[in-house]
Amino acid sequence: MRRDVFQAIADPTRREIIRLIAEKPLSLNSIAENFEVSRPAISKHIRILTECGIVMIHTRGRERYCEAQLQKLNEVTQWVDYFKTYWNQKLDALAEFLNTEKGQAQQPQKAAPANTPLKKKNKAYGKSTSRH
Amino acid sequence: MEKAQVVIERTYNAPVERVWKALTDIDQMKQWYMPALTSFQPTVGFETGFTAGKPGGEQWLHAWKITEVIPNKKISYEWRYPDFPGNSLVTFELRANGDKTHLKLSHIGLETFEGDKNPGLAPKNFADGWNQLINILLKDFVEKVPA
Repeated sequence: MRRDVFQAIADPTRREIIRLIAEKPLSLNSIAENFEVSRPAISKHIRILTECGIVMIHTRGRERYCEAQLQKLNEVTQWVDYFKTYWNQKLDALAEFLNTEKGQAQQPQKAAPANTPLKKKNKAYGKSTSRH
Repeated sequence: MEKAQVVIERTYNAPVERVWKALTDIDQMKQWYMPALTSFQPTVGFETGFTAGKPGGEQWLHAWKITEVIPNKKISYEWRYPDFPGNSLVTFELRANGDKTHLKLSHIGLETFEGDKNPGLAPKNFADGWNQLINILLKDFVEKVPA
């Protein structure tokens, strides 16, 4: 099964684990102490986090320490952010384009007979809807 | 399973044929969307490559490959950067609504892009990125993005 960062952060316990070890690496036992759930359940979450590349485990003496690899989370969110901005700008530009004479003039001939002035469209359409 | 994706819906005050043309006619695409485009055909299997980026800023080689075309309804193409790992998929879906057109854009597979191999988009500030994740993006993805 393929693991990725979004699977890693989908579970509230895993998000809490990431928060705990974001500041400094912690041993498995220290992490488990913060939760009501069983130690094996925490181990399972940590295994998923390591498979997702969010957590790296180092062995120090008899203890296993979990260290957060937050770089990976940042990379993904930056890509999403970049494209979210990009597409919102482009879809705004599409609205502007469709509103221009050019966008309308390039319709099939029958839609705009040569001597008929093109109807001006309302400038304020379409933008306020469905921006999330 | 949550994925890194962008989904945006808009309604345009134009008939579906005109929106379709703006999305698939190279002359029109160059005007509002991708000025650097050198060739484009809305045909499954068609591939094109070009260099684009921020105006006056860093430029990246882009590669598109058309994977699905349903005239006036849907067009999908792969969007990747040949110099870097990863491959994403852009889909425009149109639905006529009287004289207006409802457009749904989705860009999926963004988790396959690896920022550390692309200096142009590598995280600039560790702390900022983390705060943003916790405060905004995490909420967005975990609560709002459909699994």
